[in-house]
This record gives sequence, structure tokens and C-alpha cells, in this order.
Amino acid sequence: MKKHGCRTWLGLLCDEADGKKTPRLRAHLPDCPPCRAMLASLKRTVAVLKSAPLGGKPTSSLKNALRRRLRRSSRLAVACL
Amino acid sequence: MEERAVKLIERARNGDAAAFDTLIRSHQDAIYRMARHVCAAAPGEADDVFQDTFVTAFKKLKKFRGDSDLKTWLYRVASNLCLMRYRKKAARPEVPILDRPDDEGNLRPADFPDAAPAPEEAARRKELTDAVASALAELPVDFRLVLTLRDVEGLSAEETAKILKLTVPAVKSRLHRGRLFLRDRFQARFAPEPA
Repeated sequence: MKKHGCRTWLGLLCDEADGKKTPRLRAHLPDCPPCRAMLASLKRTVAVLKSAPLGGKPTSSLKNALRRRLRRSSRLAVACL
Repeated sequence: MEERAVKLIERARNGDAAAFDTLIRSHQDAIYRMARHVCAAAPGEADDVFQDTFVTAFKKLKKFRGDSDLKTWLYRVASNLCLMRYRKKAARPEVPILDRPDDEGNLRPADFPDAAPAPEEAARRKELTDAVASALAELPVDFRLVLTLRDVEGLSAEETAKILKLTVPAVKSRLHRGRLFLRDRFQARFAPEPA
């Protein structure tokens, strides 16, 4: 990655990190260790975000609370008819 | 949209609670996962967004025209709820426009652990989860939504743009800036102590 042109590659680096084929960037990468390192770090960022078990599944008590609210909404809707 | 889904939606519109329950079960994990990422700092708020999404969907189901699939529509409902909730809470941190250049004007590579630690590394996994949650929580909600829909839910830039009513270039810009912000946060958290 040349001193003057780093930022011009960022959009393509992000596309490549998404799995898109970017021929222009691919031709550039062999000659540019900083761009290769940047691509690797972007891929790792996405992988960490995807793999962190932040989501999980809704608990039974949460699902039950939702169903109670829906039953109340349903009764209200009927009462308003 | 699948014929089965169309029939379920039609039955739910006509007040069939069992049909709506089936629709909830089909999409509850995705909506909860999305809410947990966007409300990264406050699991209680994620629970509220989860419930409000389905209650709002139940009330507005008659307005659902079926020109997108139901999951996309639910993502939109949940996104709007998140935007309303967090835009009130101002305090937006500065998100780098692209990245901070180093002394030579180059983009800096980052160094932090690879994803998918071995199962026995429970503590390390928790550290990664905490790192993701706290880094996401520092971002404005607009960025959290784009990162969540694109990188966690795996939607395309076009689908994300449609859900958030943004242009595709705006989605890409937020995605790039958000990823760089997270990358810097992960690097700061996991960088080895200086010797």
C-alpha cells in the first residue's frame, strides 16, 4: 500500500472482506503488505462480530411475557370493534 | 414469499392467534438476536424491543402489503423501534470518517485474537462477547443497525438499505466506518501489554 493511496483501497478492502471478488485490489495486494494486513484485520473483525454469542435465544419467560401482552392486545382489539 | 407464509399471514390478519404464534416462532430467534446486538449494552432494552416488535407487528399486520417477506418487515419494525429508543439518548461518540492515519498517512492494520475460540476457552469467549457488546454500545444506533443487519444477520447491502430506508452507498459507508471503529476497539482491548 503506497503512502499516497491507502484510503482509495478501503472500499474495495471492505468489499473483499465481504467475500466479493475485487480484481483490481487482488492485483494490488501482492505488492502491498499494509493492505494485506488491513484486509486480514477487517476479516477478523467481521468474524469476531459474527461469532460472539451475544444473541442467544429468547428465554421462556420472555416468550411468555410476549404472549401475555399479545393476549391483552388481542382482547383490546376485539373490545374496540 | 412462500405460499405457506402467505396463508399464515392471512389467517393471522383475520385474528387467528395460533397462526400469529407460528409466525412468531419462525422469526423470534432472528429478532431477538438483532435486538441483543443493537441494544448491546442493555439486555433489558433488547427484551423490550423484542416484545414491542411483535406487539407492533400484531397491531399493524393489516398494513403489511406483502411486497417484502415478513422477516424483512419485522426487521424494519424492530429497526424503527431501536431508532426511536436510542435517538433520544443523543451522546454520539465520534466515529472515524474512514480511519485515523498513522504518521505516514497509511491505514493501520489491527491485531486481536481470531474468532471462534476452542470450546474449552469459555473465559476467552466471554471476553470476546464482552468486547463486542461494549464496542457496539459505543457506536451510534444507526451504525449498530447496519453492522447487525449486514454482518450478524447476513443481509445484503440492498436489503439493509431497504429496511433502514437508506441508499446503498450510505449503508456501505456506515458499514465500513463501523467495522473500522470495532476493529480499533478490539485492537485496544486485546493488544498485548508493552514489555
